[in-house]
Amino acid sequence: MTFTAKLKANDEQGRLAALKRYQILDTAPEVEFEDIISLVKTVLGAPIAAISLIDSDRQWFKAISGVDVTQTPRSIAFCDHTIRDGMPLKVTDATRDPRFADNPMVTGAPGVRYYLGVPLRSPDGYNIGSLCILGDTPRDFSDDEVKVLQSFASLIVSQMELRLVSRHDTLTGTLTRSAFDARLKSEFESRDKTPKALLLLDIDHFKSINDTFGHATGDTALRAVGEVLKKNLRETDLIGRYGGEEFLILLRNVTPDVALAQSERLRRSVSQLKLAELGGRRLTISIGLASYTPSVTSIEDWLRRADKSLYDAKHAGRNQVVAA
Amino acid sequence: MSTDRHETTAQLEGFVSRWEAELPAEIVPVVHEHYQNLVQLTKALQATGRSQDQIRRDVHVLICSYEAKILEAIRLEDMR
Repeated sequence: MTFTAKLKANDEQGRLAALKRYQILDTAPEVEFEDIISLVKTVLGAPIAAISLIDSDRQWFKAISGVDVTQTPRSIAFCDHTIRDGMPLKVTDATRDPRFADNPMVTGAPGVRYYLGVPLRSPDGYNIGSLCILGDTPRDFSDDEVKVLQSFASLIVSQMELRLVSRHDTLTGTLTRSAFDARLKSEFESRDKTPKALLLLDIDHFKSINDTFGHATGDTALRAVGEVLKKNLRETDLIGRYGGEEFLILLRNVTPDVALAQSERLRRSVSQLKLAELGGRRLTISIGLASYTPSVTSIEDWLRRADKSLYDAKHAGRNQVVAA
Repeated sequence: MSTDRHETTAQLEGFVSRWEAELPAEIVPVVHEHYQNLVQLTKALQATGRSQDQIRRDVHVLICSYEAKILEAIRLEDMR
């Protein structure tokens, strides 16, 4: 594996897909990125440092220190200029640079005068954002300082790759339980009142599959079910592997009726799977569905409702959906 | 200075080899890449004249967060 791929410029769709792959936009602050920003500020003696990720119409900061902001429009982002080139962007005095002299971050707070940014390049060659330092007095930069910032940028990208692999179950490609829990907690605490639903699902008779065909076939079944589920979910939904053969899904922006229909679709799709390794035996799943309602008091309560529905689905004969 | 640099690099190498045997195979290349980036950063910091003590402290901070991610990956492998 190499993280020094050639820049793929002029492919905005590919660039955005590369950014989305990290599933990092709008996530809570994380200490590893905060630590890096803090070090960058200290080492380079800058009042402001940031990890800026360039979304379709905004720059969103995974970590920023020295100014109290979480995002800005892309149209005023210095970092949007940085990602268009493979080279570091040096602005020694923004008031004398025609690209930035009228920028509201220069004419108003925080009064940016110098900027140094280096691209964050994904292993597949897309500049997904930049690591930058800013200050309110003119400044020139030595080659050694630029190299330090580039080294930190490479470290951020490999840290993002580590973050990605450590949050995903390598067998099914779904989130790990701890990663799913963190996202669910964030969702629950966001006070977002759009309707949503939690699905707890379990592969029926999985132990018997392992006992009859062996664990390698059990893994194949898990991988296949994970694939079918992911294929049938929207980009905004979340899926995680919750236990051995259990998955948990969060459907966002769905009414109870739509959640039920979607659950049925998932159940049907899995039942249509044909795996040669199972010698004609069908795979089925049971699903417990719990829509979010004002009576849900906590995440634990919400999970308990989904778990109770799953229990009911199992006891009613499996291969079915039961809603709380 | 050369000895100090080797000590910092050895500290990094020791850290990687300590965890490598327990890591899921898919994660090993990412860990190696991250390690190489830490080594490159160490060299870049040395070129700015930052003291070895400061660099050691910097790398220690970065290794701690790196370690947390590796432990998450090992826990995941244990669950499988």
